[in-house]
Amino acid sequence: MITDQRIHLYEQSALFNGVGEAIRPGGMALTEHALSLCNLRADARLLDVGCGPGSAIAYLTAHYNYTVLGCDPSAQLLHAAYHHGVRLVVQAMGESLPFADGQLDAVLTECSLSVMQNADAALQEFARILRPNGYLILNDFYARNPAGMDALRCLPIDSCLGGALPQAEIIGRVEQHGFAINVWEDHTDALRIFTAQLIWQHGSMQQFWCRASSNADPSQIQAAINQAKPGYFLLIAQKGGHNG
Amino acid sequence: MSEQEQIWMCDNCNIPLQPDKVDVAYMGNAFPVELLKCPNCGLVFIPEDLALGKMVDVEKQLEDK
Repeated sequence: MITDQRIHLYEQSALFNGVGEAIRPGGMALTEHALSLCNLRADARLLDVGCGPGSAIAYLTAHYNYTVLGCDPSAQLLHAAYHHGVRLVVQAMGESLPFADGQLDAVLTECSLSVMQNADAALQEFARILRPNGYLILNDFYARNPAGMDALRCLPIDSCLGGALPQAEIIGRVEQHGFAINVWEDHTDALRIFTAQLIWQHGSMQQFWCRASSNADPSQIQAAINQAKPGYFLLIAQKGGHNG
Repeated sequence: MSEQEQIWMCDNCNIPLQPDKVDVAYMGNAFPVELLKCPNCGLVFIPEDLALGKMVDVEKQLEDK
């Protein structure tokens, strides 16, 4: 049964329990891969937009000399971050960031842009707070079968799946906000592994959806996913060009 | 006694299998899970219901293009 009550999938404990700290495909390995493709200073200032419970912030702070800040609109997830000792976080939406212009070396947004209500407003904010040649590191779902995405968008859950866009549209929007694309990589294999881990933890995807979203029909969710065939990508872009 | 509560012995080493992290790999994709494993020779026990249930679902997922 579908109701009008929307569920924020990224706040559901079933997702945390299924894949440990990193509640997204690729985990920290994908984050580290992305950072290896950037030419960041050792003492760079990064912002993790949609940081959730702060697992990436804690990891990067422990393994690099970066200053890593985080923001997330979910008080529940920020409370979990604080509980794990992550302090440099603020409650904010990606579309309205409480940071000064041109102050950050990189914006990291992992499995988050597709959940935001206004991706263009968020990209504009990323461009504003980055210094010239600063990096946008973005990984997220994308629509491999755009014709099948309408069914996903109609589901009563707020998740990256529903906001997935086709590759060309993602690249076009990023470029429109003054970024030059350095890297586009397909990481759909990481999404398959992520799904396999959820099946292993919960018994089946049906059972996962039952636990994650009590108001939604798991069969309908799974049918919509099968039709849409979502993929996963990594994009790295620089504000204004490739000279940094 | 449930299957998990049973003590399974390694037929090669004659010692009890113990829960341990095992990398499950299929079609070039691998991820860690916990299964019963011989601490001596590394033999892993996969129960029938696991082989015919979750593992089949996982294989279908990884086969999906």
